Amino acid sequence: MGLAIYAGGTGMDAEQINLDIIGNNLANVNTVGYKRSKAEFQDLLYQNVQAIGADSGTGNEVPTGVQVGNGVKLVSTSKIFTQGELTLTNEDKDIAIDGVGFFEVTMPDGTKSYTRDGAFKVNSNGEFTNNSGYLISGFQSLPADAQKIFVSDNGQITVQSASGSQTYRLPIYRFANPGGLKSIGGNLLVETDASGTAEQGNPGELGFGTLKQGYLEMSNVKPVTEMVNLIVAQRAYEMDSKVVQAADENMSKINQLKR
Amino acid sequence: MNPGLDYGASALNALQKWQDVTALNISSNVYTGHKQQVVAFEAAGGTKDASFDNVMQAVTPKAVVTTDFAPGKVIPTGNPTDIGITSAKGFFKLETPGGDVVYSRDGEFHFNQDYTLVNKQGYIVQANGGAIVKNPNKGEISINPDGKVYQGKTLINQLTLYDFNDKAALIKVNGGYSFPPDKPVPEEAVEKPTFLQGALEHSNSNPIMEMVALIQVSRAMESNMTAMKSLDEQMGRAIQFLNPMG
Repeated sequence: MGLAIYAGGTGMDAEQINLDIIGNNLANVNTVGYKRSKAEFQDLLYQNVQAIGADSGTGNEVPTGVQVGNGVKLVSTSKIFTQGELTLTNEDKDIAIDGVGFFEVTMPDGTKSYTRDGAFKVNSNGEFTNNSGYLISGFQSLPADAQKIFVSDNGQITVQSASGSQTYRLPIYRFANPGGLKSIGGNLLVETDASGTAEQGNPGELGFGTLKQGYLEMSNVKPVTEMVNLIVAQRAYEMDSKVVQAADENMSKINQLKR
Repeated sequence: MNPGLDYGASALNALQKWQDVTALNISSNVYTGHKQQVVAFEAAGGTKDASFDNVMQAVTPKAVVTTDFAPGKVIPTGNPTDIGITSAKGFFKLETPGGDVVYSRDGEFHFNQDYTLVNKQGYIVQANGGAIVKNPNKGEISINPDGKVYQGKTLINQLTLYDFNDKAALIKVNGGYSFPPDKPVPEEAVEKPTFLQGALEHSNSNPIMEMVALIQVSRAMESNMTAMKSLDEQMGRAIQFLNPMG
C-alpha cells in the first residue's frame, strides 16, 4: 500500500490543529495581555525504502539509500511574546508592562502564576487583585482613606492618603524562555521546565520593561495576518484531502485490474 | 510468460512512488525549511525472458527520488527569533543533546531556559563562536543581514552556514539532515551568507505543480492499467482459441 494516503492524512491532522490555534488567536483579539500562539511543524521520520547497496530486484525500485517521508506533524505550539499595543484607559489601577516582564499572581492554592494583564482591582481588604480576585505579588494593602495612586515607569508606587503617604517598588518577573510557559486560562501562565524559573527584578533595570499607569496592553494578535493564515491553512487542508481522495481512487482502479 | 504485464506492474509501482512523493510534498508544504523531493523516471534493465534474451533487452521504468535543495520563499513573520536564510546555499548547523550534528535550513528558533538559541526540537544553534547565548540584562538580540549577532551595540556572535559538495549523501533525520556515521562528508563554511531576522524560509514545493502531478499520476496509472487489461484479454482469447474444448 502507498504512503500517499497516510501522508495526506497527517497533513489534514496538522492543519486541523493549525486551524484550532488560528481560531483561538482570532477569538482573543480583544483579550488584554493575550499573546498569539503559532503552530510549528516538522516532517515525520523517514522510512528507509531500500537499504544502502541492496539488490534492486526487478528493477522497479528506487535507487539505494533513498528515504521516503511519512508526512508532517505538529511539533509544538509556541506563544509569541512581541509587545501588544498600549491603550490609554485613564484608570489608575490599570498598569501595562512596556517590554520584558510579568506580574506575579498568587493562586488560591498558594502556587504562583504570571500574567501581563494589568487590569487590577482592589478587594474589600485593600489588596490588589486581578479580575479573578487572585492577589498580585508586591503590592501593599491600600489604606482605607487612600486618595491617589501614582505608578512611575520604574515601578515606584506612591499612595497618598489623608493620614500620609506610602512609597514602595513593585517587582516584576521574567523568564529565559517565555514561549515555554504553560497557559492555564484566565490570562495566567505558569512556569515549566522549558520556561526556566522566574527571575525577579525592578522595572526599567537590567533589561526589564517599564510600567505604564493608566494603560492596558492589548492582544498582539493581528486580525488581518490571522485571516490570511486561516485562508492558507484551509487551502492546505483542502489540498491534503485531495491527496487522500486521489490515492483512494488510484487504489480502487488498481483493484479493478483483476476481472 | 508475458513480459508486458510485468512492465505494466513496474510502471504502476514507479507511479505509486511518485504519488507518495507528491503527497509528502503537499502535506509538508506547511513545514518551514522543508525541501521537496523530486521524482525522475529512468529505464532500468528489468525482467529477462529466456526466449527474448538475444532478441530484445527488457526495460522497465524505475523511479529515482532525490531531494531538491533549491531555496524556498522567505516570508516575514515578525517574530524576532525566526531567522530566514536568504542566500541560496547553506544550512544551519545544530547540535543535538546527544552531541550529534544536524544540518537544517529551518530557522524557527527560540531561546531556551538557559537563554541559548535552540530550534524547535531543542537542538542548539552552532554559530561561528559556538552557541548564541543571550545576556538577559542587556536587552534584545538583533541579527544583521550578514549574520552578525548583536545584543544592544555589542557584537556577540556571527551566524555561519555550511554547505556540502555531495548533498545527495545527506540523509533525513529528526529535525534536519545528517550523514550516515560511517560516511561523513566534510562541511564547508559558506562565504558571505545572508539572513533575514523575523522571517522564515518556506517549503520550496510548488502546490500547483504538485496538484498537476497528482492528475498526471492518476492518468498514467489509468493508461498502464488499460494496457494491462487488454494484454490480459488477449491472453484470455488465445487460451480460448488454442483450447476450443475448454
